Amino acid sequence: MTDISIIITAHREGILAGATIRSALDAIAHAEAEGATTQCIVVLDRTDALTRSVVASGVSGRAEVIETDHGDPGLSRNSGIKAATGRFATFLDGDDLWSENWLLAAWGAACDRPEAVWHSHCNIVFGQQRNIWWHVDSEGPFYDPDYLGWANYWDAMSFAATEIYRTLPFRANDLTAGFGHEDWHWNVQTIELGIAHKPVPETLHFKRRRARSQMSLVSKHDAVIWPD
Amino acid sequence: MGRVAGERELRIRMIEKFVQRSFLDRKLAKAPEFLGLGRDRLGEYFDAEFYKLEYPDVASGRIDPLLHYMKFGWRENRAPFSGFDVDGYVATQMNGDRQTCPLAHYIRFGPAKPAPVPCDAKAQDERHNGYLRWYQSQDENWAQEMLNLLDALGMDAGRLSDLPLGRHLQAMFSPQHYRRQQGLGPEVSDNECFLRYIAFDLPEGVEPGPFFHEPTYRRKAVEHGLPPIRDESAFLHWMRHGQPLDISPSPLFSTESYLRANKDLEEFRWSKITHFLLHGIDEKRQFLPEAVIEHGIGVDTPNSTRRFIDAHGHDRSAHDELAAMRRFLGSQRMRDLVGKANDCDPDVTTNLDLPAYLPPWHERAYADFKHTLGLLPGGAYRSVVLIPFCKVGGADYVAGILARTLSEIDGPVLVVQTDQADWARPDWFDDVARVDLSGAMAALDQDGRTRTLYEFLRRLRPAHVFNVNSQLTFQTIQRFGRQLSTFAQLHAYYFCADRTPSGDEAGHPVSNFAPVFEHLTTAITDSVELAETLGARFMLPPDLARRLRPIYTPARTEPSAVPVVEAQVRGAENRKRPVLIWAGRFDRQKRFDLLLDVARSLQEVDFLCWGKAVLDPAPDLSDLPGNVTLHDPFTSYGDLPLEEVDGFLYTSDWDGIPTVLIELGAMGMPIVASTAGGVPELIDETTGWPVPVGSTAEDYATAVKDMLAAPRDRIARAVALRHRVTERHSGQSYASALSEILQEAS
Repeated sequence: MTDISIIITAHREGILAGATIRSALDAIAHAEAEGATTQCIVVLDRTDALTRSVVASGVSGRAEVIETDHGDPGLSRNSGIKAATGRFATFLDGDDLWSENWLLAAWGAACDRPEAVWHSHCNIVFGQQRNIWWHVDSEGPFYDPDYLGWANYWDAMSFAATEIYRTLPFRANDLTAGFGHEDWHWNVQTIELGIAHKPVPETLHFKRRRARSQMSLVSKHDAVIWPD
Repeated sequence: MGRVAGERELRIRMIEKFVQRSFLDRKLAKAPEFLGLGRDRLGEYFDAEFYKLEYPDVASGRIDPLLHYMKFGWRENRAPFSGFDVDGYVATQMNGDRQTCPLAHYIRFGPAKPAPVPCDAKAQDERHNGYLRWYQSQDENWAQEMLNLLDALGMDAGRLSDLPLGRHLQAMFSPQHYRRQQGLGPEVSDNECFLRYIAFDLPEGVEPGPFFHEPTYRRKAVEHGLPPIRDESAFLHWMRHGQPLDISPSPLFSTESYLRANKDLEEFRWSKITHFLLHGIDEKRQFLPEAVIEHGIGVDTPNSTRRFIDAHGHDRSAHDELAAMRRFLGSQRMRDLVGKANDCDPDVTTNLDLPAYLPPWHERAYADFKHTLGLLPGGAYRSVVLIPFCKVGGADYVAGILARTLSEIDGPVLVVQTDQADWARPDWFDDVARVDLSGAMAALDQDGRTRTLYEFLRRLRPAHVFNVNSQLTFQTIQRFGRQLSTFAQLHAYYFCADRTPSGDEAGHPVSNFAPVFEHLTTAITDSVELAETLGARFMLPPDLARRLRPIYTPARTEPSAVPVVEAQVRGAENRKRPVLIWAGRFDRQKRFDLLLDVARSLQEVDFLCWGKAVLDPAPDLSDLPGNVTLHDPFTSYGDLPLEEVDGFLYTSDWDGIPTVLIELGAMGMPIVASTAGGVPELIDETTGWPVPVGSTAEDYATAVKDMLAAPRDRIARAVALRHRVTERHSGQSYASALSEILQEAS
C-alpha cells in the first residue's frame, strides 16, 4: 500500500500553481528519499486553460490529474480522496506551499498517532497579509473549545489517515443559505468525534492571502459554519 | 488548633469590615495620577482656550476643558497647552510611564516655564532622578500602609517589615487564582482577597499569583549565583534577592523580549519587571516573542494579559509549548525551510520578524465574545426574548408579558438586553432569567455586535427567538437571518410607527420590517390595524400575510367588579362642573395642543391633565386656559380621581392600541378618543365616542358634549368597553394566541 496520497486542489490559480507543484515535488522527493512511497493527485475544479497548462507542465506525468465541475473546495478534496490509494492523505491548495520536511515529518507523526489529524507547526502567511499562525494542539494547554465555535484553528492542509477523510467527507459550501468554511466545519466535526488535531513540530505551510480567494468569497457572503 | 482557626475567622471578619467601610479601597488605590496636585495647580498651566481650539469635540460639548483633560484628555495623549509634545515628553522625561498625567509630571518635575524644551543632560538626569525618587517613595508609602493595616488587624507585621514590599506585589496578585486556591466565591471582593493574602499567606511565603513560577525562579537563582534558597520560601527569596536584580520569576516574561517588543522602554532605567507589572499590563504592551496578545474593547472585558498569565503562569505544558515555538521561531532550521520556500516563490519573505498569532489570544473580538459567554446563565432555554432595555415604556411592558407567558406555556425563557443597561421594572419580568449584554456590546462595531449576538444565539439554540424592539437583533436578523432560521423560529414584535416632524412614518415597522420579514416565522403586532397596514403596504399574498399576527396586549389590572362610570354618574350632581381627564406625553404624537384647543372651546368643562414632554421640546405652558389643571405624570392609576370625573379624552394623531385606553377601559371609563391606529379596535360607537384623526377641536368638543349629555349611554358604552377589554385583553386570550403561534411554528 502506498504510504501517502498527496492531493493538490487547484481552481484558477494560473501560474501560481507552478510554484505550488514545485514545492510539493520537493517535499515528495524529501520523503521518498527516506523511504516513503507516494501517490500524487491533482484535482482541477472548474479550472482554466492557464492553470491546466501549468499543472500539466509541472507534474509532467508524475501525478494523476482529475478534472471536476464542483465549483467547491470541499468537494474537490473529496474527489481527491476518492482516487487516493495511500494509507495517509494530505492536501495542498493550488496557490500554497509546503516546507520541504512536511511530508516526511507528518508521516512520522501520523504513523505514531494514526487516529489524529496533523497540521504544520505553523503557517507563514504571505501575500496580502503577512504573519505567523501557530497551529494549536487540541490536546494541549492552548486549545479553547469555545474558540472553535467562534473561528477556525486549523486550515484544510492537514495530514491524516485516508480513512478519516473517507468516513467524514467535506461538506459543500452553501453560500446561498449562508453556510461555508468547509474546513472549519470539518474540524468541528472531527473534534466532536474525539479526533485530535495536532501540530507536527518544526514544519511549515506557506499560505498565500490574496483577494478573490475562496475564503474571502465565503466571508463576503457573511457565511458561517453549519450549526450542526 | 481551634483557637488558631478562631483567630483567623475573627480577622477575616475584621477584613470584611475594612472592605465594607471602603477604607481598603483607599489604602489599596494606585498612586495618584496627578502626583498629589489639585485642579487649581493644574489649571495654572492648562490652556483652556488652546484645548478647545485644538479639540473641537471638547468645544462642542458642555464639559469644562480642564475637567475633560483631567478625566480623559491626558489619557488620550491630548496636549494641555500649545507646543507640549506629549509623546516626546512621556518618552524622554517620564520613562514611558503612561499611568501618570504628563501635565502633573511637568509641573512637579519639569522646567518651570510654559513649554518643555530640550535641555542639557545634567538637568534631564536630575528630573529623572527626582521622578524615580518620587516613584520609589510611593512604594514605601504603600508598604507602610500595608503594615499599618496588618497592625490594625492585630497581626504581627514584623515578619514582613524587612521585606522590600512594593506595589508590584499587588500587581502580581491574582484574585481569581486566590479564590480558586482558597475555595472562595465571587462574593469575596478582589480587595478583600488581597488583604487576606497579605494577612495570612504572604507571611507564610505563598506567592501572590501565577506570575511567580517557583521552578523557574529556583533555576534562575542558581544561574545568577544568588544565595541558596534553603528553607526559605522561594517567593520571599525572590522578593529579597531576585526582584532587586530584575530576575523574572515567570517563564512567560523576559526583560529581553519585553524590550524587543517595546523599544520606547530602552532608556527606562528602573526594573522592567516592575514596569510590566505596574504599567505594561494595563497599557496592553506586548511581552511574548512568540505570540501577540490582543485585548477586547468591551467595557468590562478583562485584560487579556492577566487572563493569559492566570491561565498559563503555572502550566508546565504551556511553558513547554511556548519554548518549542520560541526555539523554532529563531532557529536555523526555520530559516532554511523558509529559504527553500523562498526559492519556489520569492514572495515568501525570509524576514521572519512577523506578528505571530497563537489563537485565540491574537483576536480582540474573541476576547469580547469570551467575556460575553461568561455572562450567560446556565441551563437550556426554549425561548429567548431580546429587548433593547427595560425603561417604563409600553414595549418594555409587553416584553415582560411575553416572557412570563412564554415561560408559563412553553418552558424556560431567557431575556437578553442588547442596547442599554436600564432595568427599571424587574417586576414586569418576575423570575424570568435575564442577561444584560449591553455593556459587552457597547464598544464593538456593528459587525462585532451582530456576529457576537449570532454566536450567542447559536450557542443557546433556543426553539424560538422573539425580538421586542431590539435594534441590534433586527440588525443581526438582517445579517444572519438565513442561518438563524435554520435552528430557531424567529418572531418579531411591531408596534405603531412613529412620525417625523415632516409627518413621515418612522421606526421599526418602517425600517426593520421589510429587511427581516423573509426570515420571520411571525411578525406580531399589537393591533389588527398595523398588521393590515403592513400586509397591504407590501401586497403580501395570503400565505405570507398569515405570518402577520395581531395579539392584543393584556390589561395590567383585573377589570373592576363595578365599572367606575357608575360612581361617576352617581356623583355627577355633586360636581359643580363636568370634569375630564387627559393623560399622556406632551409630545407631538399625543396632541396636547389639541386638548388645549378643546378646553378653550369647552369653557364649562374642567380638564385635569397628567403628563410631561418626553421626546419633543416642552410646549409653552405660560398661557393655559383657566379650565386646565396640570399634574406631573401619574405613577399608578390609583393616583387618578377616576370616580370623581365624567370621562377621559384621548387626542393622539397616531398610535397602536395605547395601554392607557386598555387599562381605563378595563375599569369602565367613558372615553372620547381619536381613531388613531388601532384605537378603533377598542373604541367605536358602541364602546365610546370615536373622533376621526384630523378632526378639529370643535369636533372633539361636540363628541365630549354628546358624552356628557347622555349619562345612561355613558354607562352603556363604558360597560361595553369593559366587556371588550375583558374578552380581548386578558392574560388568557394572550396566552392562547401565543400558544397558537408556537404550535403552528412547531
